[in-house]
Order: sequence, then C-alpha cells, then structure tokens
Amino acid sequence: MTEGILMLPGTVLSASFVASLEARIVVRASAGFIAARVGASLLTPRLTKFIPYVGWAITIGSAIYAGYEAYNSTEIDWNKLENGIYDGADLAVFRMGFTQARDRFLLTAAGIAATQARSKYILIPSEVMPNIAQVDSIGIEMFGYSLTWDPAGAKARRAQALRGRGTAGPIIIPGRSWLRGSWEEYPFAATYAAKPGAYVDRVPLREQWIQGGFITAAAIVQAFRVNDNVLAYVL
Amino acid sequence: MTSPAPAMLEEIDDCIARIAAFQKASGRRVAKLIKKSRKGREGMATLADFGLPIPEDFAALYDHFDGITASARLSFWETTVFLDAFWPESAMLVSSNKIARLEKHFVAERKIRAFLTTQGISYDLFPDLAREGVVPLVANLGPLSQRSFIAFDSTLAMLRSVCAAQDAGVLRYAPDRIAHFPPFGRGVEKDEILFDPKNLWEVIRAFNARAEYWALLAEGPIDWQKIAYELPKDGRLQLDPEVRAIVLGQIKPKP
Repeated sequence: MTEGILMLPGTVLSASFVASLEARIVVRASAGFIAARVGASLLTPRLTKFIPYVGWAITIGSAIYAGYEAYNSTEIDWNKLENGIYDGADLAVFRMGFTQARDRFLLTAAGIAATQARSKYILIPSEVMPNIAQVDSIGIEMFGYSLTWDPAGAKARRAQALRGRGTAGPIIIPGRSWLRGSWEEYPFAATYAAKPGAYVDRVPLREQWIQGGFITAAAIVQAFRVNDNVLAYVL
Repeated sequence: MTSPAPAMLEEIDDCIARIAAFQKASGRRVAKLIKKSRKGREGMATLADFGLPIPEDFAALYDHFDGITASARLSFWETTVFLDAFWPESAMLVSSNKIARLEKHFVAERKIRAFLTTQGISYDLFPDLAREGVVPLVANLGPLSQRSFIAFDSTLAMLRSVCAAQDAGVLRYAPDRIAHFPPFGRGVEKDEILFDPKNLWEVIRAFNARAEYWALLAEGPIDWQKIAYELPKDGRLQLDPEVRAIVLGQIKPKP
C-alpha cells in the first residue's frame, strides 16, 4: 500500500470547472485583433464589391464572418504558463477546483482520517493533470507522501533537481499535438521530504501550471505556514 | 416536495441575517458571501428525487439562499458559519449524496449528507430518526465509523443554537494560529472557531432535547471506534463508473 496515491477514477471535478480552467489557459482574441481581421476582410480586393446590392451584401457578410472567426480564435497565454503567474480570476477557479477535489477526498476514509488528524494536504486530481499524477505517484513511492512546507527554499531545490538537465522540450502524447514540456519534480519545489533528493520527469507545461494552481489554492485555503507538515494525495 | 411555511421561512431568514451580522461584527470576510439566491430551490428539488423526504426546515434554509461559495482568498476556517460547519452549495449536496450512494457508504441510503465540519465530522439528516416530522442532524464520521450521535434536533434547532450561542458570547474566533506543533497537542488555526463545549451545551440544550453529541463532547474527546481502513495494494480505489460521469457533469444525478 502506498499512502498518498488514491487514484480515484473520475475524481471530483465538474465539467464547469474543467471548462473554467481551460479558459484560464486559452485566451480569447482581443477586440483589436477582431477589428483588424474585419478591416482586412473589407480591404481585400474583390470584384463583388463593385456589384450593387448582392455584391455589397457578400462583402459585408464576408467581413462579419471574418470577425466571427477572429472572435472564435484563441491563443495560449504562454507568459502565464512559463512564469507560473496566477491572477485573481485564476485563483478563484483553482479555489473552486480544490474545493471540489476536497469534497471528493472527504468522501473517502483516507480523507476523513486526514481531516480528523488535522492534517493539511495537497491534492493532485489526475483528470486535469494525468502526466503530473504519474510522475508524482512515482515520487510518492520513492519519497513518501508526508512533506514539509518550505516555499523559501523552492528556487534552490528546483535548481538542484534540474541540475544537468536541458530544456524539457516538447511532449508527444498519442492522439494529440505536441505540447510544450517542463520538468516536474517530487517532492514539489515548495516542499521537502525526510529523504533527500527528488524524482524528476518531463510533463506538459500546461499541467505544471495547473498543478501550481492547485498547490497555491491548497496553501491559501489551509493557511500553510513554513514547516507545516503537508500530505500529498494523488486522486 | 412541499414549500416551506411562511413562518418557517421568516424565522430562518432572520437567523441567517443574525449569523451574517455576527460574522461581519467578528470581522470575518465570509459575511459578504452570504447572499440571496434562487439556485438553492432547484438543488432541493434534485435532492428530493433521491427518495428521502427533505425536511421542511432544511428546504427552507435553501429557499432564499444557496449556501456559500467561498472566494479564493479565504481559508477553510474563515468560511464556517454554523459553528464549525460549512454551508455547502446545493450542487455540492447533490453530488456528494449521489456519490455516497453509488459507493454504498455505511447508511448512505438512510441519510442526507448535509453539513461538513472542519473536524471531518458531518452533521447529516436522518429522516428515519424523525419525531413528529422533525428530522435531527446527526454527527457522524461517514465510512470511518459506525457510531453517530444526534447533534441538533433539527436544522432549525441548529440555526437557533448558533444564534443563541452568538448572543450568549460563547463563540469566538482564533486571532492567530495557536500551538500547532507537538508537544503542544492539537493546534488551532487562525480564524478557527473557539468554544468550550460545556458552555455551548448549556446555551443550546434548550433547543436540542434529543441531542447527545455536545454533552458527550463536554466530557472529553469522543471515542469514535474508527474502522481501520486500508487502501488496495495497487493504491487505487475503484469507484462506480457512474461517479465519473456525475462528477464530470456528463449526466445529472438521478435517484
């Protein structure tokens, strides 16, 4: 038995949470971008422009469609992902996610026991970070699920864990396009385990950002303080 | 499900207003999150489809409100409003009740999961323990223990108890963390509710003739006779596949 790896299939997260989470990563095109696409459509040389009524209607229709397409186009907010930035709206989403994960966790005997013992915990819902969950599960097997919260040492520990490694490069997941990669370490950078060292492996960058959000939410909601004992659970 | 009587609604709305005022006066940000909403009624209608009768006072609590949606910056301890218990949104009630039934939790079919506390204890409704149509809230540890104790004679009794305790001055909130680590024993978190169970019981016993939980707690820690639990050897707890569909919102919970 490995404490900390529950791997509850389906876990906890509602469709609305998953959609909200996606919206935090993928941003809609700005109004300026939409206007530029509409303008470009109007400026495109077309013979139909010079045909009264029907031609004009086609031109206007094409411009509206270009605007609609621009509105629907999205882009990844790489700055957020690469620098681990979480704004107020992001934190609100992660709070919702952590609360849902916690409610699911507290339906298990392990969850109730942890709460009764007044343990604080980090929850890793595998459905929104499957690769992270796999890496952390191996890490939990190696280093245990009981960690100490020490965010001040995060930078040094991450540098130590990544020493000698290059960039993570792209991650290829069957059936999906390439994803930008990142290095995941367990114990999490903001924590350390009784046993020195860390297990490190490549994961998609987007999952690492999601994991950071869940850890941040856990820290806020449970008021983590330096040297607190924190348990890690993969759901 | 019948609509709550106007007098019941009026008393419950008054209790909630007093609870919100107390939270505000105590400087707790959760006061701003106690807002009127119509979503609670829909949640109660869904919950009623599970087959257990929804007590009138519990339905009334969700008639003008839909629990509390915690904001990102509040800790757990800052969001408890019914003593040490949270006030869940109705959607959360629906999903947790459905999952408890699918996973065949101990007495899951007998109870309506209601209020979860910061201690891991739940105050749940047990309709089969009703007397004259009044359904008690029973303190229990879910799948971790088969013991349970009536905590409040009813949902309304809980609200009356909270208001009385507020008025009597037996409730306060920890201004900072106290003695979290050994050898100091059980720690107290910042914003966590503090009360002496003996004093609390003295104030609320008038509303809770059937309650046994607080009297026991006043005597010392309760022996829950916890059931030993063990995770499967491969570390995976298998759930009913339907749970996945529910929690992912692919289907709406049905009884």
